[in-house]
Amino acid sequence: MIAYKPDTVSLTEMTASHTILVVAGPKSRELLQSLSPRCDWSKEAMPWMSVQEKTLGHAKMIAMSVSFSGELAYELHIPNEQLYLTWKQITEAGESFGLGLFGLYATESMRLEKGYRHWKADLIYERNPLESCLDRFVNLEKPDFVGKGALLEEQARGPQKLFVSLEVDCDFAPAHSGDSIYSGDALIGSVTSGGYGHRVEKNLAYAFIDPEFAAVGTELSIDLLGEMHPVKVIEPAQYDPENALVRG
Amino acid sequence: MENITRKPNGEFIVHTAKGDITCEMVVNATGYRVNEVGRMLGVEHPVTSMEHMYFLTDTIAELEAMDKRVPIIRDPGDDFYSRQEKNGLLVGVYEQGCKTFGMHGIDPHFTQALCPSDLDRCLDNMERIFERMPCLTETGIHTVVNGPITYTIDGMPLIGPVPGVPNAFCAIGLRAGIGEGGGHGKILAELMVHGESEWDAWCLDPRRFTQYANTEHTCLKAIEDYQNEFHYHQPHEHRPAARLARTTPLYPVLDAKDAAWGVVNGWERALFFKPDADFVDEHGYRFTPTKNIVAQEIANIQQNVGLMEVSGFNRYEIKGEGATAFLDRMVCGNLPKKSARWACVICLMKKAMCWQKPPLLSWVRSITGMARPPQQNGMTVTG
Ligand SMILES: Cc1cc2nc3c(=O)[nH]c(=O)nc-3n(C[C@H](O)[C@H](O)[C@H](O)COP(=O)(O)OP(=O)(O)OC[C@H]3O[C@@H](n4cnc5c(N)ncnc54)[C@H](O)[C@@H]3O)c2cc1C
Repeated sequence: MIAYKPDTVSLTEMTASHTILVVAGPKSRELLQSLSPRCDWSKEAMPWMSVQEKTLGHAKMIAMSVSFSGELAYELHIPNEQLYLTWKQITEAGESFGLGLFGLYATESMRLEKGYRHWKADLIYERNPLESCLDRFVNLEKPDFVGKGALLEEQARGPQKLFVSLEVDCDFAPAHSGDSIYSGDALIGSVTSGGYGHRVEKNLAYAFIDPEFAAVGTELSIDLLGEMHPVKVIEPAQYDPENALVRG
Repeated sequence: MENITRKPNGEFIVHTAKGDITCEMVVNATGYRVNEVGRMLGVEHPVTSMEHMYFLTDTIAELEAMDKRVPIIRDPGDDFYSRQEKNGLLVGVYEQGCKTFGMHGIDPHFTQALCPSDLDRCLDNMERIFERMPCLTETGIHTVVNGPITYTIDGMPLIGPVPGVPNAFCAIGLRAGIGEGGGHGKILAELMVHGESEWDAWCLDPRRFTQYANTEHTCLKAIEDYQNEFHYHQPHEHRPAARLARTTPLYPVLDAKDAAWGVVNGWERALFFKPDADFVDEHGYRFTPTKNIVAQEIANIQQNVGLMEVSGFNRYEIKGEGATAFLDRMVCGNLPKKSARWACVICLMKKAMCWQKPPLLSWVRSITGMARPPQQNGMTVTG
């Protein structure tokens, strides 16, 4: 990035000075609104994909209406000196909204149900965004961007692999990154992420596989812990594909 | 090589007893002397060394009589390996009572040299090794080899640019350099010549560690890694050495709520919340009882509302004249058209490999009504 940065532009790292609190679930908006008499958290004032400065109680932060879980959710980017304050206010107010805590395992399960990718698991240098099926994040009409020439070349060459979501027919183990995917006896790809989707009640996995097998409905198999199990290519967003919930 | 200095034009001068050599680029590949040479470049690498021993036996009559070689053994229970060497065995040990090397400096005369043998450290393993391979009890040991091996925080070497020193590269922290050196050499050459590698080599990138990765931290992880050398790393296993390197003010609060902790680049992160303090998150390749606890956390998020802390996500403020044009050029998609919006964007490599696409590389453009300077006319990128 630095190589392309003009001198007039400054880049300041804020990784360790701020922390995110994620508030997720159908009651998240009501809970946050209850702490924010002078801020408007309504769908009209703060629609999905907004970024606004908000005050919760007497703590200030940047709030984003963004969801990695697929539920109505907010990310609060809070300076560390007000992290405890914000936490205390939300957890106290949360009692009457049935607030519970959750962690990375739950997040991992929920994002697999939404078709969301994880950096360095599913998003890797070796696959371009077209092979990663992230076409909607690419605009080849733009006059220029870093990597455009090479991307056009790769587009002309066609995908070497394609990213797919899979349903794994196995009730005792999740797929693991690196597990092999077969069509008959032919090795056609490998898994990048795997885990159980609790809301859709399916054993899910992501993989890069040969393009000719990437159509939804294709039946393949996975070598899981030394045994072959059936897998099927499925739609990437298994949970709320219309994104009705995240819009609230 | 005695020192490295820099010319005003940025070129390096490598000073040796036989004269100076001017170089456009340098590579630190000096094995266990990594930090002596690193210091010449003004950096301290997260690499330390551990002593490691193997021994060679006298000729074993049964091996001599065989018309084939015996297989290589790697024993994850008794922490040893063995392979045939001529008509004897080479047996190496990863002992629990292991020893660091060179923490207080290395004798300049220690070249092509070995440490004094110290098989007593391995007695505990030896008993078990003898049980597995009784022939060893009847064979003499003719040589013990004890040498330093370099270790890093995560067991992987550092191949690529030296953070903060333009045109300096490194290939250091190699634990199995004989086996892996060829691949590392290819990646390093690509990085030096083209600036990027054909493969996703982030797991080897020297820039994957940050300030927390000091020598003491590295050493604690190196000892742990040595002790676990042959033990399987289970999915979701976060090992206990050198923890709490990076925490937020909520660590003690979440800990009191029985958070099960994992670690991401030094940062402590809650994996899930234990039903009681004594609950143990079993590690394995199959589903474990933790699955049901996760199901409950998710059910509550789906019905009511859940709260999670996310520490240590990369976050940059990009601002100044030309910030929007700069960011627009870096990403292959569209920046948000309206203010006070975020968008997911992807940065590509020059060769159009997915370079960096965090789950959410969001950004903010001139948020209206923002009072505080950091965000004014700026944008925050998180991921
Ligand atoms: C007992 C033992 C068993 C091992 N078993 C295996 C195994 O089975 N398989 C495997 O893959 N690996 C094994 N290893 C590890 C392997 O030996 C190392 O990973 C590998 O040798 C590292 O290679 P390197 O080129 O990075 O460093 P080194 O081989 O250490 O080379 C560094 C070079 O830099 C030179 N140098 C240092 N400082 C200076 C200076 N100031 N000026 C000029 N030159 C300098 C040194 O003289 C040396 O030649 C073992 C190591 C030990 C000790």
